[in-house]
Amino acid sequence: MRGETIKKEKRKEISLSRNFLTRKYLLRLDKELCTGCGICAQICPKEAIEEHPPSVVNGRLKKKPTIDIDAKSCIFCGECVVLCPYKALKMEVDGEETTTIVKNEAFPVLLKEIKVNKNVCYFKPECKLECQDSCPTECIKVETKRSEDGKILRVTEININEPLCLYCKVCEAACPLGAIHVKKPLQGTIELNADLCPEGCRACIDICRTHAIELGKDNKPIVSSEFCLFCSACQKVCPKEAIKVNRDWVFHTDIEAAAWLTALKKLTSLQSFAKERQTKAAKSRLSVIKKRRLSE
Amino acid sequence: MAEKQNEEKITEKQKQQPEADELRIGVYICHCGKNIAGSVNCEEVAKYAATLPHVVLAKDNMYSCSDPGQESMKKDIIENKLNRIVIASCTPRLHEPTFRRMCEEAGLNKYLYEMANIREHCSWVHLYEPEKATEKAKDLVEMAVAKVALLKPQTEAVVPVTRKALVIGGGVAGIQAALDLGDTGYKVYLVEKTPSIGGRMAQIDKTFPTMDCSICILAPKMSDAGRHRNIELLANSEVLEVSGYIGNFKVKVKKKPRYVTKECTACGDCANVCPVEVPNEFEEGLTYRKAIYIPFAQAVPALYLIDEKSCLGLGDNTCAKCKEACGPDAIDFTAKEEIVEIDVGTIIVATGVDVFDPAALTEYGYMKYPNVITSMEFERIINAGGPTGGHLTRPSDMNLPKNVAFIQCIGSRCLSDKKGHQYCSNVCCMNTIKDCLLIKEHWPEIKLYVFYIDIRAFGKGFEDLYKRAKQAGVVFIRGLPGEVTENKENHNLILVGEDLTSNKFYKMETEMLVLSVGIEPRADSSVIQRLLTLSKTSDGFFMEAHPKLRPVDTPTGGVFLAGCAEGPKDIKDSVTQASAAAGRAGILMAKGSVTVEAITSRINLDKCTGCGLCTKVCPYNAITVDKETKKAVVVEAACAGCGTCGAECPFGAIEMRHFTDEQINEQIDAATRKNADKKIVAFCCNWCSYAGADFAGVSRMQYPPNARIIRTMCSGRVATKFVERAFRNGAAAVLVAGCHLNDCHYINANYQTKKRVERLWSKLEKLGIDKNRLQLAWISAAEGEKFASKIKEMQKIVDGVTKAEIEKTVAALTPKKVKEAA
Repeated sequence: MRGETIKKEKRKEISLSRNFLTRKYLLRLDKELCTGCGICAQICPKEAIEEHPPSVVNGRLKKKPTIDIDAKSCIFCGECVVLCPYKALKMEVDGEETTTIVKNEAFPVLLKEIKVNKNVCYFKPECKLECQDSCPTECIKVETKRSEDGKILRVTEININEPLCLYCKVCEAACPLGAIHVKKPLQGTIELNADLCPEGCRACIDICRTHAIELGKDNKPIVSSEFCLFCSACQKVCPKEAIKVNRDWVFHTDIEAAAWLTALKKLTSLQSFAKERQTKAAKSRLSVIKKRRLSE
Repeated sequence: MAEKQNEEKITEKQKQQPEADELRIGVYICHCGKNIAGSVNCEEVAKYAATLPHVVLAKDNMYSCSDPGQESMKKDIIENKLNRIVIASCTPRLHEPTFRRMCEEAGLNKYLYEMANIREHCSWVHLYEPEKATEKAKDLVEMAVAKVALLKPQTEAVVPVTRKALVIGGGVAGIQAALDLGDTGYKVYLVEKTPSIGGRMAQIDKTFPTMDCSICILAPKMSDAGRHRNIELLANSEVLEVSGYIGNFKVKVKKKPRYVTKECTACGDCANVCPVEVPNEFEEGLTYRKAIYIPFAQAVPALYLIDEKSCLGLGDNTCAKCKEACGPDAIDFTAKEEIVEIDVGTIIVATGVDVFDPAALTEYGYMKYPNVITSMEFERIINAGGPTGGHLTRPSDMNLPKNVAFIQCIGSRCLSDKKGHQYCSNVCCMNTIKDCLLIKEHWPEIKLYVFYIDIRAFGKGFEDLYKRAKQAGVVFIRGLPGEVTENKENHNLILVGEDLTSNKFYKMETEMLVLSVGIEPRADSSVIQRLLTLSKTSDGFFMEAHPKLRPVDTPTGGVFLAGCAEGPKDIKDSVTQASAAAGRAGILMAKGSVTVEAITSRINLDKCTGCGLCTKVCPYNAITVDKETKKAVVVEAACAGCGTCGAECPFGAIEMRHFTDEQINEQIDAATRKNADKKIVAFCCNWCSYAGADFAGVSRMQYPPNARIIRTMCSGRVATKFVERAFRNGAAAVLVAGCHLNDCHYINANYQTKKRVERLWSKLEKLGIDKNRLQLAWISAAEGEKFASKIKEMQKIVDGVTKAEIEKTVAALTPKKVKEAA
């Protein structure tokens, strides 16, 4: 029938398209950006996303976990697009990059930000391009004025290719002047019990896109939660369940939406859900009091 | 009034009849002009009949069924005090009711009459063997005389008819039928699967030939049906179960939850805030609707509903934007499906059609090239309430096309089943002509081309419309394009084909292509078929009882057809047929009662042991074992008279009235009295295989004259002892023929036939008898050819059976102690 979702799978991409006469929808999954963390599968309201397990051989990640979207169940709401930490899922409505659910004001957008304080950073010769070099996705390009023998005189321009930015805060930590500020949308905790790690296993290190997990002194993985995106891809690949990721807060735009609360409950935990509801309730109480005060 | 007078006449005459202790059988051999007399020597047969026991009168007449014929027979009955009649003429399926009426008028109980079929089963199929045909006719008359001697007078039970009707399907046919029945004063339940009534007619823009706006003429009828005093509208509901019989159906209907209550004012605030967009079925997938939606603006009932498959989640905490926005607070997430049970007397099936999906016909590029659309999509585009507001736009660039081409017969008139259906879909030619005139009305500069095989403009005003279209400049080209390709730059379509009028090839570039698709039976009509035991014809539409004389009845009593469920047709014919079906249903309900044919079963309480074997085989659950008396009990009104219980009972405790064991035994004996070693004894069921043999006769198919057919209502009546008796009497071969396995007129009784014949085959093998001498065939009413072939095939078996084999069979089947099986 016309208007049915057409799914096309290529080596690097899965695309779902739905074309009406007056509106076109396109949902694309970039398989290379995807880490198989499974956040999308967790929150999908129609359970249309299926996860496929990874393959860990001799302690190395041979095949990362993947996801697949069922064309018949997907309603093109776009919740997965909003929550994907790696921007692997993208949705276009009539050629414009947006999602149906955000367009209809039934879901917030995550607050993610990367800002460079130009006053702190520009014209300073102390910069050794730490941000550019440390960025795991190479999204920062620093332009400098150099002396004849290649020494950096000063920073002239910093260009951040934001579509590639994961908001991992690695650059913020690397900058000696503290010139970059990054707002990470997901907050939580990550625990790695190195005692459970099998000898020579590096699956988590292989999957971690932000290099928040590195090889420590005793040749066992060690995690820095400051750079962790709390996507829990590492938890998915760990063969011994040595990693535990807990998400407890999500920064998002202010939208009254029960759909968001449901997604939040699935993403984080009952406590976070309750906390958010309390905040919302407090806000609405405040607005009611304000209204009453105005009318008195 | 005349009816009543007739009835009085009968009872008085019956009183005039003396008590007849002795049988006085009258036999009539009909010439039927030359139809019978052409191959059968009727005088000779009459003379033979006079020699049979208890026959006091044997005549041959020209046309028994005619008025003078009947009058003369009636006179004979009264003057000669005849108390049993045999008429040897055509098939009982044609004239049994006629002659039964004649017997009644002469004061004789109508069940004291038997027919011998010497036309369809004899004269017409043995046109070139008159001696053998005459011998066969004599046998058939002897069989009939043997049976009629044992017939007893019967009284028919009268069953009340519930004065309520069920109409399944809320398209224009269902709506019309419901309105007609409701206006007559009967309560009608109108059950519609989708959330609103209206069906296909609500989707189209204008109707032919009047160019009326379709929804404008339909909406008043929809409103009427929605608020009619006598119509209970059950939209968004499905029929789950139907049980019972004519006049007394018990139906279970599932009401699917809307999650929106009656408080809904259809304001649409909920749909504005719903964040989910999914394909809109009413708009043929051309645009979207929200998860909470109303099917279309004029929907009846005018209520929104939530599509739970698309909704983010039915809960106050899952999304609930609609509930927040709803002013009258009409949204109820806790709604559950409800099952209602209704009692009705008649059912009208008006389940309608689906539009053919041309995606399988890849040569036309549907869904591959954006500017190829179907005629239904065209209706929605050109409709002012549709996704483009009535502007004719090409899907690829949303511009007005400069030219549009139509291709006819997509999915219809196909030679092979893979590409589509073999039938003509009736409406597409006129639909295209109407579409062309619509385009010309608004945009006269657009050039239009129609590629056709034939233009079928058969109805009133149709030829006029066709002329108008030609005068308006529409070009009609005879010859469908073989292939459609696309110009990738501008998404124009290139059509290549042969113009059969000028015998030249054409290659045409067009900006937009409309595929005039056919209509096909609904994909889920098999569910209704199973529930109501309906039959389907080879094109997949429901079968009517008789294509000419009973076009809205079905073979199932009390169930009628209306609209496209019966066959593709336009709105005028659907409405006509709906009123016809309402009329037919009205006849039953007006009378308030229906008489049950006296062929039902009777239990002999002395012989019944309460074993319960009969209860296991009854397709209607009409027979049960009473827990207290430990005897079988029959609900006469539910009994259809198939006879399967009678054949199953090991104690002979069940009598099948008018088809008793003794009567059938006498027929077998009469058939095998002479030259049994050359004969085939054939048991044929009334509805399919007997009718198939009739059809062979009507088609004048010739086959060897050695078969002797014994009619039973169902092949399930054929007990193993009948077959054994035939072989014991020395018959060369036996044929048991019934309906196809899933088409049994009595639902599934023929499965018992299959089991019995399989048991018989094992027994014959054990006794060292060639089991090929017993044949089992499933022959439908349309398979005359199959019946004729079967007899020809069996003739070879008959020729191959030796006298020694027959003697061995007789010896093997004769029991050592002569125990009379009752």
